[in-house]
Amino acid sequence: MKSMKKKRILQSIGLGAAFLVLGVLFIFPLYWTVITSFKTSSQVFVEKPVLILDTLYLDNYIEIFQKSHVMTFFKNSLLIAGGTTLLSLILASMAGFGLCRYGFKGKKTLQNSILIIRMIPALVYTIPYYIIYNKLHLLDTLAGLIMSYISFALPMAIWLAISFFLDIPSEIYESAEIDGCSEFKMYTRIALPLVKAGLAVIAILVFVGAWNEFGLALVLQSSDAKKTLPIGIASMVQTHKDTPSGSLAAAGVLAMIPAVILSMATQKYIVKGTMAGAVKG
Amino acid sequence: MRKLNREKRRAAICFIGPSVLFLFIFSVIPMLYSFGISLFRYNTAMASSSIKFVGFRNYMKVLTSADFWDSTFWTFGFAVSAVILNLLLGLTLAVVLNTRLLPRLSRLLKIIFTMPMMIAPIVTATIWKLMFSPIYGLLNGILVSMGLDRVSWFSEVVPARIAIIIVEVWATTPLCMLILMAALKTVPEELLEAARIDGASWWQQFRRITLPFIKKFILLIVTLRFMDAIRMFDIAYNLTNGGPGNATETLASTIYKMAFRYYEVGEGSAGAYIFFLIIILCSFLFLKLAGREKS
Repeated sequence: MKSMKKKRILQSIGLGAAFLVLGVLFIFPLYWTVITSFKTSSQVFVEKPVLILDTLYLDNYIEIFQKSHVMTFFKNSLLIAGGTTLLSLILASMAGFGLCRYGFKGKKTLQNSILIIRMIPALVYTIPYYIIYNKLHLLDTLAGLIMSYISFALPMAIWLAISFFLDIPSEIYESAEIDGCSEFKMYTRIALPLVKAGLAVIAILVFVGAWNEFGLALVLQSSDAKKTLPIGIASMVQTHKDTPSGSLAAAGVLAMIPAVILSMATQKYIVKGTMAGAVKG
Repeated sequence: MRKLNREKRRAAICFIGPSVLFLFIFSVIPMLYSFGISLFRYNTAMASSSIKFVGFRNYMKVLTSADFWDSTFWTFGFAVSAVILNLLLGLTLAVVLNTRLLPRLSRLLKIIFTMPMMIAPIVTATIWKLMFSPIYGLLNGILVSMGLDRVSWFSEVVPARIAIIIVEVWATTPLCMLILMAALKTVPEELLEAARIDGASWWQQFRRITLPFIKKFILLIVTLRFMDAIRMFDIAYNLTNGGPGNATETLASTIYKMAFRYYEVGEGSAGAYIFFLIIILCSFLFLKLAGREKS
């Protein structure tokens, strides 16, 4: 019995060590970025890396707020990701409800087409969007980017919505029908409240997707006033070839904040959504 | 009864119609337009009078270009290595975090480990640019303090490729870990208990009980991650910009450059369609694999 106990303790120590090594590997790059953002350039440009700071310098943050359009990028990103999420949610929940509630000829074909649209790589769209938007004067506008992001998000959102609406037993609709409930009320009063958690999953996945998107925004948005955070940061990196590491790190930290908040609040939903999308899709 | 059916039909159109219309305008039309362009010699930097119908010549041009094949091989090599590392690391993390010895620490670490997955790829690239920086970067600092030579990460082929794989694995392993943690919860505890009583070693329990139970989740991760990795663009574009030379150019970045650096949108569209075909082929392969697994 004593050896059992000893084994347990050894096991705990082993586990603790494993935690430590893996934790350091995954977290260290983040830590390094955060402390770099608070360093002066004389602390950045030393051959022996400075790992612990005794004073936090805010110069890098002041610099990026004064010299770049970080706040504009941030606001654009928020508007675009928010708009995309809201509109996708409305469209997808309606379509998901409709596709679960009603049977009609060609339903299977419609669902399969949505699935195929979901597989199309963004590049197939990027080129025609650029040319068409150029002709319609939608290039470099927030509305144009929102529209294209919705078209990226919608197939996945509809597919997920279907999987959530399918969990509602049809008897609920039938009894509502007998009570004389209209189809629209059935959607707003009965179905939507029942899939609230599912809609949250869709909203998170769509929001994060739009917030992080890079390739399409890079092509469509060209002026600083219309850029999103990802391409704003990329252009900061590229225009000043030797951007001081400190301000680069500060921009990175700013862009990380929403991600950190989201990852604390929502990791459960993300796994749920990814798995539902993959298993049922 | 008939009136009811008519009302339902109308409701169906009202609910499904907007999405179908939206997807038609913003997905189907651009897609067809893209296919149309792929049949033309079309350079956005030249006068519109230079646009000329060339049939499938753009496709031939892409398929015979060395750049295209180089990037295809690298993209697949990258995807396979990233997925293998994803699984190994993800599984290790999941097993460690799932043990109930340090519950509170586990919960905290789970949140911390999830962060890389939520961070925008461009931020990930920025973070790692600092880490890999040749003179003042932390990684070279560590190498020097261990008495080794500096590595110029982005100007040599092999280090640049290793760097890209490291960054991708860092950013995507958390999702694999979370899925595998959920998977491990499906393994019945009684079965493991029984095996333990019968004197099965830890490895035997894992190999004979846990692994068969989580097999379908592993297949899910391989599919998800592989399909995601072959589309890789953001990190390659921002970390190495395809360099040195075009050693880390992925399929997506090669096609992107055709269309937006050399302005050959016809060729780029043809490339995008070939890319689409590759993706469909891969999904079909994984679907087949999943089907065989079930039966």
